[in-house]
Amino acid sequence: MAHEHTADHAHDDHHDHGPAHGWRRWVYATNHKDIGTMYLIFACVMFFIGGAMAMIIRAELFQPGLQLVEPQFFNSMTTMHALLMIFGAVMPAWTGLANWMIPMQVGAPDMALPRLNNFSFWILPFAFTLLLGTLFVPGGSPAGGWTLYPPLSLQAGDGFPMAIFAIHLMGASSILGSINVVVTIMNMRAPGVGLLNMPLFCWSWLITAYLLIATMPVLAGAVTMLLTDHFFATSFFSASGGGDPVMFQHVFWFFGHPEVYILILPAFGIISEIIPTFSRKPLFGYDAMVYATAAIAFLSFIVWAHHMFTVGMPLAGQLFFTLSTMLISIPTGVKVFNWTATMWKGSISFEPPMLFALAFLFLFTIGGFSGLMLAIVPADFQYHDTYFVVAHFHYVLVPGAIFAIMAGVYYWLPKWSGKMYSHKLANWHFWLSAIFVNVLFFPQHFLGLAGMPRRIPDYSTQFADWNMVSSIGAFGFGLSQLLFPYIIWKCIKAGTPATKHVWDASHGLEWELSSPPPYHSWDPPPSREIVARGVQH
Amino acid sequence: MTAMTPDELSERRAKARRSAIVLGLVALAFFIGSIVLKMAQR
Repeated sequence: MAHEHTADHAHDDHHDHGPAHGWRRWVYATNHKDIGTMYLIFACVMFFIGGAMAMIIRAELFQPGLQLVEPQFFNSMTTMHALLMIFGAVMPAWTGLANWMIPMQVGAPDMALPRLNNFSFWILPFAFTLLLGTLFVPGGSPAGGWTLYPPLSLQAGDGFPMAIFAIHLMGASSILGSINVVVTIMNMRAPGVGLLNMPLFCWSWLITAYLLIATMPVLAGAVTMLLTDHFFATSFFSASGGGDPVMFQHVFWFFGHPEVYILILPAFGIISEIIPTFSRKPLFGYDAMVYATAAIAFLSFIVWAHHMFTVGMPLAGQLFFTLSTMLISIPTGVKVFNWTATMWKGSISFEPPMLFALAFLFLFTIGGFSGLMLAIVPADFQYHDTYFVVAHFHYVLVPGAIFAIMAGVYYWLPKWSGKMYSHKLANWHFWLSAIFVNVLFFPQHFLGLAGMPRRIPDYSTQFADWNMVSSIGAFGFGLSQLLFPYIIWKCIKAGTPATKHVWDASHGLEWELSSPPPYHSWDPPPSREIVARGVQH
Repeated sequence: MTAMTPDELSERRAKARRSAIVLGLVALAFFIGSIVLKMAQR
């Protein structure tokens, strides 16, 4: 198929050349695949740095008492682990996958705004250098939790303004990347690729991008007000000056809850690509999936105070936020049942992407159920700030978002590289990850229900056994992740050549390109025949 | 047979640039709005 996309024609852009050589290719990159690759490598590096911090946390918690690190440093680790994993690993990984896949899936030659794309990426290394730099300044890095609640966060050392500036930079990067995704999908679709027949990965990212554009500026506003409270004697959140610290929590979670869906909606998109391929059936209920994604995004804006039940609020507020939170389970249930219905009577095979997708389906649903438990006010009064919450959101984010990212990489890596990876090693990676992630996080439900608070370096002896089990799971999970970059490296170096369609039932415009695709994906754009073959229905 | 000419592509890119500016302004409005609303609360 490659010959269809290398036809020579001249126009105002410089699409007739290949990549630049050496460092210029990456620093001046405007190609969506190069930028996507950089995002993915960046996310992988952050995943391992954030993971190393998680190992420190779990090593300290291996047994009761203070073993390895100072309490202040322990709290820095929990804070930095969260900031790195959310803003440094998961979000850039999604943006990397969006960069790679969206132009190929909608039949565009590249993202609509390639230079903006370059800028969005290159902000990130500076942001995270600043953030990690806080570890080396007097007072250390932020230690009041990733939520940065005042007044605690205002008592931080020299790392405070650095962390705030880093958050501003990450936010700017996310907003610019999201704008690029929106305008690419809205303007660059090839004729014949309609909104209601483009891949669900594009749909989920389109909705995610709108969420990001609406909420990241609110986080920027909140941390800017923290900054002026700290340095310019304002009293937005300082009670001593007439400010309201609880208002910070409201503003933060107005960003923070949609952020949860920013982290998981692209995962829904990927799972909706993978399950039909390996079930050899079209996705059940495409339209319902689109509307469910939009409904989840809408609801995410009206549930924020369920993070703050213990702060105290009127009964009407408690009822509203409980019920609106529970409503989210309806569109989410639509998705889970549609994925299950897609598999029903399908000819299922269990290649590595499907294994990760199936694990996602089971384990994300467990995270969803514990979320429902947390939505109930009287129950939340018991669970709040315990390890039950830690177990809940890690089930959503690790076997949820992270497994979906891995599923996506295993699904599209042969397309990107033109090489097939070792299924044997990838299966090992899956089974080790799936077993250890449960050993790691499931006991944390028990710890939370028994009353163990989160964000503490020491604990009572009755929590010792399950903490030890959880830590063993953490070490196993951490070590097994080393397989992931090795499998990718080995695939690129010595993988067997992949075919154009890679999987026997793969369906979509990206699979109509050669493996690896040409440097400028759809240049010239896909013909109507190719589009008719590649669109959803 | 191609379905989109280079001229059409340039036109779409120009439209994308205009949309991007609007979305950027929306983001700016949310940023300023969050601070203004907090100030109005006092």
